[in-house]
Amino acid sequence: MPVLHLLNHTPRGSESFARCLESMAEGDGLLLIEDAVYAALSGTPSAGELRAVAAARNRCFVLKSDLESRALSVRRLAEGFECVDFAGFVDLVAKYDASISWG
Amino acid sequence: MSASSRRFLFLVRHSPLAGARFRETLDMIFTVAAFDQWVTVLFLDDGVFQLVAPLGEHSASDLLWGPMLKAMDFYDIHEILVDEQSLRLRGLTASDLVIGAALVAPEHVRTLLGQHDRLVVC
Amino acid sequence: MKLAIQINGHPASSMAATTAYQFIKAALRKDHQVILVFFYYDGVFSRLVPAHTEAETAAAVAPPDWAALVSEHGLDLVICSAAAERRGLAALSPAAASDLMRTATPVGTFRAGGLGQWVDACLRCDRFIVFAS
Repeated sequence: MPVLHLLNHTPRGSESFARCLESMAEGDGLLLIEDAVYAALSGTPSAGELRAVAAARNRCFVLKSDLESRALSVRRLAEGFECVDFAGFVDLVAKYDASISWG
Repeated sequence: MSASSRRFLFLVRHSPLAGARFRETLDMIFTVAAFDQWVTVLFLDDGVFQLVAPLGEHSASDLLWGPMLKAMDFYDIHEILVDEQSLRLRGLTASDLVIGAALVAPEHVRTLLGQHDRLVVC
Repeated sequence: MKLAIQINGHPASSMAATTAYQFIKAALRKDHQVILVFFYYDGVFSRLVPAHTEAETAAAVAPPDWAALVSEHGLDLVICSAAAERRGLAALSPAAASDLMRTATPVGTFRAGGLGQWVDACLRCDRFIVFAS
C-alpha cells in the first residue's frame, strides 16, 4: 500500500528528515509542509537527498501556500518538486492508502 | 477481518521523560487494543531508550513502559518491534533491552508502513 | 471520502492547527466528509487561543476560525479531556467553559471527549491524518 509521508520541520536539527527518507518505499509520496518546504530549495543538500529519493520512483510535493507565506517563490525550488495547493493536498491524501506525519 | 477493522502501527520515537507524551501514547495504544484492533508498536530513534533494562535495585516494572509490557498478555498487541539501527546508533544491543523485542532492519520499517493503514508517530 | 483529523501541536508554537484548518476547508470544498477533528497532546490548547486580531488576519497565514467551521459545517471538534486536564485546563463542562474568560472561542465550539471517539473515527474513516507539532 503506497503511503504519503508528511514532513513539517526543516531538515536541520531533526531526525525526522532522515528517518522519513529511509522509511519511504517505492511508490510512496512525500509532501513537505510548513517549515519543511525549506528542504526543497535549490542548492541545498537536503534538496539533493530528496531528489535521490525521487529518482527511486517516489514523488515529491511541496505545499505552495507554505512557500508563499515564507516569501519564497516557486522558482527557488530545486528541480523535481511539484507544487500543490490545499486542494492538491486533499487529493494526495485520497490518492495514497495511508499517511504518516513524521513531525 | 471485518470491514471496519484496521491495522494500527504506533511508532514511538521519544525518549522516556518527554513530559506527558509517554502516558498519552500509552493511552492511545491501549484504547486501540481495547477495540480489538490489530496493533503493532515499533520503537525507533530515541524511543528505543524506553526499553533499556534497568540495573541494580530497579526492576522492569519501574520502566514507564512496564505496564504495557505486562499488559501485553491481556491486550492483543500483535508485536513489539525495535529498530536495530536506532539501537546501534545509541551504543545499545538487544541484550540491553528489558524484553526480547524483535529487531527490525530499516528496510523492514518500509514494509511495515505498507502493511498498516493507521500510522501514528508518537 | 470520510476523513478523521488529529491535531497535536500547541497553537502558539506550532502551525499544526493552522495547516489542519486550511486542509479541512479544502476537503469540505471538495465535498469530502470530516467525521472528527480530535485535539490531542498540546493540541488541546487550541480552545484557549484568543480571537485573532485584524493585524494577524492580514498576515500571510490567518489563524483558524474554528467557530465558523462548526456553525457552517457542523463539524465535530473534540478536545481530549484527559490531555486537557493534564495541562491544567478545566474540564469542558458548560459551567467551567463559561468561567474561562480567557477563552475567546464561543462556548460550544469544542466538546470534551476521549480516545474512544478517536478510535471510533479511525475505524469509520477512509483516511486518517495527523497534523504534528
